[in-house]
Amino acid sequence: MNVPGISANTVIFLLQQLQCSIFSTTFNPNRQRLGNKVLRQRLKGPALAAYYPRRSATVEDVLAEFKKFDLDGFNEDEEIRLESIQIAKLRGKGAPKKKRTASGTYYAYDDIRLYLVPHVTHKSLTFIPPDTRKKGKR
Amino acid sequence: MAAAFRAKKLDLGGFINVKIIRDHTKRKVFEQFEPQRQALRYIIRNTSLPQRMRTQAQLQLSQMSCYTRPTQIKNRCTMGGVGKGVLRAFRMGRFQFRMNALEGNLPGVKKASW
Repeated sequence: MNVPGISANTVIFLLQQLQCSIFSTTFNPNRQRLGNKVLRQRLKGPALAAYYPRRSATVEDVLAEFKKFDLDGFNEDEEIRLESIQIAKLRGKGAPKKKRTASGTYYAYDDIRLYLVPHVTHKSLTFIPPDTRKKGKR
Repeated sequence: MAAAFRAKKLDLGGFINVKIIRDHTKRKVFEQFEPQRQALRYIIRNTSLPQRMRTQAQLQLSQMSCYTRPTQIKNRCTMGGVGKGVLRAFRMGRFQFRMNALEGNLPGVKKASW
């Protein structure tokens, strides 16, 4: 293509500029890295955040709504669960009770401490007789 | 640090597991910080910006909490919380997929034999 008075390179340059302005792309004749590919990427956060099923209305929520209209209902699964726990307890197969000592929560290492020699100097390993421990707060 | 991001009230239905809660939290944090991350990434990659600015952006991006990174997110089984052998299309571990497919819970999935 020959345009009188303008060199071929300039014509191409101007054409590219025009093309970029028409299609609203970045005019970058020196091929610099302008990071535009980052801006072109779509945000994938919403898609990723929707992976796990969100909490919706539960049976308890529905029962709470029922109460407003003086309606009554029951959660069958929950009642079956509680019933089976009762049966297990009657058979002596229930969950063990949480152990408590006079000082509060029972730690397995309380037993170990009794065997430790008193002259061990590390602070956490010093021997404290169970009767002298602070009572009150857990 | 991570506890600050966790939702005060559990917003998940279905199978729940510590690992699932953690992964869900990471997903939500990533969603929240994604525009900021992309802006910093743009500054870093743009060679026409001053070098000092780009280095600062690099530092800022690397100092963001690890929960804001997309690489922390892992697809887990939504039925059992398993982290390996998860089919992306069904969001299920391979065993959960098999059980659900044989029960007929997955429309269009059929056992084949030839």
